[in-house]
Amino acid sequence: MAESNTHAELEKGSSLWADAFQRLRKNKAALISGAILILITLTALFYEVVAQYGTGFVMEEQHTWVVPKPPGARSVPSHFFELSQAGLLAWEHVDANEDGFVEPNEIVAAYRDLEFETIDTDKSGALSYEEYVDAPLSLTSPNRFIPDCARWAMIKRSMAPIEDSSVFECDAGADQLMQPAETGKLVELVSSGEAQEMINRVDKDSDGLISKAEYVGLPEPRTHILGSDKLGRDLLTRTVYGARISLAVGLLATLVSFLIGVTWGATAGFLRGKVHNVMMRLVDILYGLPFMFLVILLMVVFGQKIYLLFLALGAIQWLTMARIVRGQVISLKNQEFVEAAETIGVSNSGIIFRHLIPNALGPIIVYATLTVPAVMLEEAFLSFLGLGVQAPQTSWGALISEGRQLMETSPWLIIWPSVALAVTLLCLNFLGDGLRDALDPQLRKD
Amino acid sequence: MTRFILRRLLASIAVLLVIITLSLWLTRQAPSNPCLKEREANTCACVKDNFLDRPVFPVYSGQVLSPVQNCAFWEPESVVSLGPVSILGPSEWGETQYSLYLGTLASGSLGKSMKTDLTVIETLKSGLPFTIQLGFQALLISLILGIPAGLIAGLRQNTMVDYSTMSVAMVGVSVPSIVLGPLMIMLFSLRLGWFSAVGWESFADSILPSFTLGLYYAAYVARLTRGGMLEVIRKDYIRTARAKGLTETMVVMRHALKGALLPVVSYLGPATAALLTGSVVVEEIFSLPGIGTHFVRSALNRDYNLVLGTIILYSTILVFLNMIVDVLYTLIDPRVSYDD
Amino acid sequence: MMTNGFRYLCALALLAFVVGCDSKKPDGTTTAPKQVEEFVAGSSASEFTAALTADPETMDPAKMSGAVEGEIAMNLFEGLLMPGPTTEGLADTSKLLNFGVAESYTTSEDGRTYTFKLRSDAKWTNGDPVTSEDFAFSWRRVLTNGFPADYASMMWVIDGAEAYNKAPAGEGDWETVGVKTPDAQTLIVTLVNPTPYFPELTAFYTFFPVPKKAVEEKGDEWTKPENIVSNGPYRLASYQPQQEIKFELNEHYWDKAAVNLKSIRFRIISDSNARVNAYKTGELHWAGSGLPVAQITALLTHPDFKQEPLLGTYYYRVNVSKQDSPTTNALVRQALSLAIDRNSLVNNTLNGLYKPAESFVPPMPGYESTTKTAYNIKRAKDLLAEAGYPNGKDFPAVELLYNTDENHKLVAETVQAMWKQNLNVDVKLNNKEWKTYLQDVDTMAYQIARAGWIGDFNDPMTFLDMWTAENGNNDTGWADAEYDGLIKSAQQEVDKTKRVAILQQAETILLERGPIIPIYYYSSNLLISRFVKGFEPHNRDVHLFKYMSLPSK
Repeated sequence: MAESNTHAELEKGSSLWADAFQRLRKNKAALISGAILILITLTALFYEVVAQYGTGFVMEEQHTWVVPKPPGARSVPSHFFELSQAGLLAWEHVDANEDGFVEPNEIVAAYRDLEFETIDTDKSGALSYEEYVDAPLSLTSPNRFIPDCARWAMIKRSMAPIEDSSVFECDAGADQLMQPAETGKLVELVSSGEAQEMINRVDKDSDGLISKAEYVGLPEPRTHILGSDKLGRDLLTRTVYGARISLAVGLLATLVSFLIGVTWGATAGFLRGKVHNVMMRLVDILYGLPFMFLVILLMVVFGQKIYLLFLALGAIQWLTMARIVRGQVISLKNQEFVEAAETIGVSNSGIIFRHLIPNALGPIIVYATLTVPAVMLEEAFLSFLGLGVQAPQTSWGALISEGRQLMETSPWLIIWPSVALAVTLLCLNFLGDGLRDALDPQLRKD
Repeated sequence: MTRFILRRLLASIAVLLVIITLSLWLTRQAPSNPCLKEREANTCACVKDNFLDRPVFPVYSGQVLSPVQNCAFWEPESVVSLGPVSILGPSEWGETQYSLYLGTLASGSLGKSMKTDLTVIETLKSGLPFTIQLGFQALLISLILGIPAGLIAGLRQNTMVDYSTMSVAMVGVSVPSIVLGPLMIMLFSLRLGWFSAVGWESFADSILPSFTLGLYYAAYVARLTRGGMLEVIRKDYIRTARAKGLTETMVVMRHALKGALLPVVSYLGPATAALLTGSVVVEEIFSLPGIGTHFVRSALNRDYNLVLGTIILYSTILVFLNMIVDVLYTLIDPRVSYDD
Repeated sequence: MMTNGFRYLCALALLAFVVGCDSKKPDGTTTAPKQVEEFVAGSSASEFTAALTADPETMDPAKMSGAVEGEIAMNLFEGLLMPGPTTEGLADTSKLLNFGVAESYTTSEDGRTYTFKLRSDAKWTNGDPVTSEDFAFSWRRVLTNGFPADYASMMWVIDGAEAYNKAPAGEGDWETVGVKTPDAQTLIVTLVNPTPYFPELTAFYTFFPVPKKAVEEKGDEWTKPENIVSNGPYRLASYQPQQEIKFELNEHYWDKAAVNLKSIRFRIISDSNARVNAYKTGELHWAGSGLPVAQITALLTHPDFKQEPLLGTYYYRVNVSKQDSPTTNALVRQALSLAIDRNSLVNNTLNGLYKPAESFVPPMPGYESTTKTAYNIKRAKDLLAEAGYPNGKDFPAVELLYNTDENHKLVAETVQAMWKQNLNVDVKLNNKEWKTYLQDVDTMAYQIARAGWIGDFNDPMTFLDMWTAENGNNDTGWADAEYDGLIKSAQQEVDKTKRVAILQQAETILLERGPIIPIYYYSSNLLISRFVKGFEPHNRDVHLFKYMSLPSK
């Protein structure tokens, strides 16, 4: 890897990059990876927009039941991005008792009707077993132990349902169809607390009710595309938010490692002699230290502050960078343009930062690209151990850690953050490989 | 050579001292202390004393237990006797907690755990075999799977074999253990019931954790080996060997292999470090009784002595392993000078 | 290197396969057969196996303070009396206990002197008899100044014990302490006050005997597996840290014929999810309590799931010592308390896993709170206005501290929303890591903090005496002379009915102007094989293996 591209250098300084770009363009995998990465980064950057127009949920809002809901389940967003007065959310329908005011229980009922209508795909006014089972209402019973109806009745009051036939029969009765009245809380989209909250939002005269004049509509239910977690939070929104933290940690920590490593390596390579020996020996020795342990200790001691995470993870990644830079600098140092600079009296730091580093940039960039996934992995490890980002913030590592707890009953909770993390790491690795191939022509001589 | 080893040895000891000092200082900066429990404890392994205006820790029969939060670290302190328990307080005789801890170390002890009745050495002793075995098996897996895969891919460059092996390797380095581990438990323990879900009772229980830990490194080793092979196979001496009419197998085994494995050997040091530290996560996933689990928990419990003991143990292992790898490297590759 | 990009894509496809193969719902098909296909707890364990959540901090009952340690002590050692199998449906506290080392006891008229008659066949695991001298020795050890016994203060009910405990070691006079041993089979204990719950205290591990001879010989080393001598139904067979603890039947135990489970294995599994997983793969008979709510949720329909009321309260502790905080005003505290809809919190937010707490002392045999803090927005608003914050006007934002945990967060957010909605009061949430949280509480560096209290015995005193001004568990700065006086007179009251009335009166004060906002009563949600006999609900989650049996199938 090191001590390469001197030829290209001498022939034409700028064409190295043009050449490299040409080569990179031919590498479809790297290009696709780059495109995916840009997409992921943009999504993460514009999380707020994604939340408002895409998922409809904000990462912290919790809904109704403390059970994870499968992909496709619906909840009512607790903000008023998008209001509706149509259909079942029209004033006439919501104000069921026609007293001119909307109470919490009327809102609950309106949403219940709405959800029932959605589940009742053949619009027969009652749920058949197929409709019931196909509806993404709750997690399934993991052990397939079927409770008797008495036990079910007891659990049902506080729990979202468990989908299987005998439970259906408990509720459906002899006709094998579940009438709206029999569903109970099964199809309730909002709790009375949430309904009260909705009222408070538009309740100008503080009487705890919505009058017709105050009524601006109610939020449309939105689908949890990737399901929701155990606190009823939208997984997609959280995954997008997690991308923001994971990528930020990956990039910023890499930046830190880049700064330390380049300075250290360039200085060592430039100064040579005793200083060089000491500096590089130190790198050799530090190479084998249990840095992760020190980071864990650091996180415990100083609390899980996110900037500390950048610094700590960056500070343990600079060693290889320093080695690479040193190698590059040594090979470049003896070349004429450096001697020329020395002759005209450019200072040491001037030579390092103005002449040596820019010329050694290729391998440095390649290595930096490969550092990002390494740092992201470490962040994920820390978050997994509960020592990374602190709630309410979240990252992919933290999401995976949470998902692991429920992986059997709600596999979506671990699968989607895992996919996000693995795909990003894969893309970063492909891009890093691609860049290396492009910038390091020696390895491609074949 | 001897001089080289000696110099590395001295440097390693210096590094260990720095690490010990740094961790000792760090643990002491942590808020709270090991004595605090949810309900008022009469005393625990430590005594809270108002006249010193801070928590202090006892010394049982002369053996120092731990440093003290927010206590003077470098400044002199003394031992105040309170019945059967002695506590550490400011002194006039020039002993500091730092020197006390170093003294404890020098006497071959790591103190007592501040949470349990066990000494730190006893605790580590119970966990070390598991961590070592896990690390060793993972290393074995990574080498056994990684090297042949890399060699084959390198020898059959740009063929389907190469592409598929390297694609798998690419996935391998992109799927972290925190994803792989839980998925393996889900599939092999909970669904198929082939392995137990937690703990380490027999060799069978070590299979899933070893693979979880080892696969990433297997993939990495495969990539390294392939790169090394590609570099070596074009070298003149290989051409010469071929020209001499040696069979391809002979060329590979006798000449190319050594050169191709150089990057792998130099990776062994960092890999061992990574395997040992990486085992923290795997131990957590599979609830294994190794040292890693101790470490995280003791840091959260402020079990200072155990935290320090773990760090010291790990650092010692790694610093010396690294030294050995360096020495090995100079033996394999004569181009690397050891009197640099 | 490789240029053909499409080759790479197969890697992606592979990844999708790896993670995708599990994303299908197991019950996605429309014809779910009515088969019962479920795990059997302990099916792959060779002997009765229970889970421990952590390594015991110590095996020395005198030093113990946690639940894990309790589990060890209760089966390895035996006190004068022992907890009975259940607390369910008992109106009378005397039925809570069974005889242990004592075969009978008498109480004096004034309720201050207990005379225990020890059974002659009580033996240590080494065959030595358990004598009253062992008890005196153990108690003296606990009360020695500087001895790291967390619960030494529980013994202060004994006459002269507090003074002895506080005197520098060597200076106290043991003769002044009310523990007398006229002969090897008799133990006479004199108390400071009539303490109706004293019999239950003797069933608490701090009061358990330790073997005098072994402790004197081995010192601190006596609890090592090779040295330990105990007097309970079981003896410690082996201990591997972080892995397992094994108990075997104590051949010298006086009641060994009644013990069904001859050997017990504890697996030490600290990760609660791993514990549930081990339970599901049949490695455990008893998964212990403290299981993650999310996992429990999925197992609620399982016949192995048990919910037992627990003698404990989850509450918010309010710091009243900060002059600039509105919470120093008792009216504000009461308003905050009244504005929490505990029913909705428990049933909607917490899936009904706990019971709403409308008082501080949970219901227990022999005591029922008379005052209830019912949800009452109107009154809460009035009180807040009376305190000078009509409709939350000018109410400074208060901070609610809790230790980092999903459940605490959930409760805190719900309460935050209720206060905002009902009182227009802003609350900031602040979560800290456990030990830092403890320090903040201990140094009173908080305004409102989440807290939990588990009672040590079935008497309201365990919940009420902690709020006296001097108590180390108070940590709120609250001091109320009337309250302290009531507690004191309850301690001295001989008549049980009157005593309860006084305590009820004290609790009323606590709820009206005390530094607490009760949230819910704990319950213990646990998984135990339904084939295990003799596992009854116990409100302190004390389940002795002695009472259990596992019929072979």
